[in-house]
Amino acid sequence: MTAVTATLEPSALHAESAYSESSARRAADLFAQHQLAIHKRTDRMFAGLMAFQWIAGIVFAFWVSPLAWYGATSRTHVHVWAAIFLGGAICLFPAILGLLRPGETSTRYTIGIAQMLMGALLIHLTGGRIETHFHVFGSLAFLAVYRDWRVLIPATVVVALDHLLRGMFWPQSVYGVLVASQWRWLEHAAWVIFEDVVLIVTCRRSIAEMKEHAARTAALEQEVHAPPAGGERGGAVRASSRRRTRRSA
Amino acid sequence: MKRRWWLWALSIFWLTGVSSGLWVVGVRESSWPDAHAPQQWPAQSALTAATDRPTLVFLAHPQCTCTRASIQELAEILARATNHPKTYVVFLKPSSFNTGWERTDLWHSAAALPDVTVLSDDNGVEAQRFGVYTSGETLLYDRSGALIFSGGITGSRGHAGENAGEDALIDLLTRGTAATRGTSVFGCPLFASSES
Repeated sequence: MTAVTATLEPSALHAESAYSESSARRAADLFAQHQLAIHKRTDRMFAGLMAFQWIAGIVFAFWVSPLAWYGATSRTHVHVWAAIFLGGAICLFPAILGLLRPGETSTRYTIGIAQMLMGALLIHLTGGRIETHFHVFGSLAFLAVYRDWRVLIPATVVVALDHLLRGMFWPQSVYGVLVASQWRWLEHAAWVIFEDVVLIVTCRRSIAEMKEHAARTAALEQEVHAPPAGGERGGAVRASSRRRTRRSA
Repeated sequence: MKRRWWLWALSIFWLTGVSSGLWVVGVRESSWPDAHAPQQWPAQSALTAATDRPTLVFLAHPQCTCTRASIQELAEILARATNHPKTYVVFLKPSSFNTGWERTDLWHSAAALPDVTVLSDDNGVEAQRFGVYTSGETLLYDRSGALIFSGGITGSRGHAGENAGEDALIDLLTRGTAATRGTSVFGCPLFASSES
């Protein structure tokens, strides 16, 4: 292994420093652009998902419990009204934010909270069926598409509070049983946190990779757009590149 | 800045509104009347009580979607009880509907249960004799004709799964004793308020 080095003069060192700063700024810009594009794209995806969940909830309510009977007369079941109006109230606001204010931090947080509230409604509409709790875990994975682990925090708080309060007052609504242990919400919250930990690690790694990718792209752009060899800056840059280069003898 | 203030206000209003909505739905679906069945087997009933084993009477509205969960729980109780009761499943049939109206999927589900007699209750006469006004209400009489359980066998409206009524009936039919002898009933009313 032989290191190829070159000695730099003060003016060349100054040029290299300026070059590094410029490259870092460009890398930061590229990273921010990429991150914003992901946030906007995911906000729009959730806007569509909110609409889909709203419709799915209504279809489900109409299919499972369309009517409540009172002897020989029937009325629309309260689940249908809940799916239409409560489901609409939960989904509409974040969907509008996702379309009108994509990429904003507040939009992501609102969507994260709404996604868990929709899970709470679906769990109720299905009578606390344990299978519907999968919606919570699926939603956390969907939220991780933002690659912003902070979105998972308010979503997790909403799930934990929902399970705590409904478990205290109407355990049948959330667990499908009339009597539930007062600590059962902790068991559910622990599973959510278990998934959160994996998703947070994944989000952070993904962000680190995006930053590395942005840095490489910025460096490549600098190389491509640098003045031809012989020019003061180009010479310094190439000297610097050579200094960093190691090659097999 | 002004825009952000409005956004915060709107977000808080939205969160408060939808949380309250979920709360109201929870309250509404958890408030149901307790059962009030006669303490002795009604003599005027067309149903015959068994004298060698307990008799279970399950009264239901054939169109009540919530009762589907109750039928599932009834199947669970009959499968797990060691002392199998004589079992009647009685479906309401208002006179304003044609014959066959009551033969829904609930009827067929009940008819598929082993050793269960499924009957049609014209105008809810039997339901009134047993003092039952909510679909899914389940009564258990011992061999002497004394009421030993009355109530629902689901945890809430349309919610299948472990619940106090199911546990009580299994205990009564297995060990002869239970922690509770009555539970709330979750189901459609068998009669409109003007009928009952």
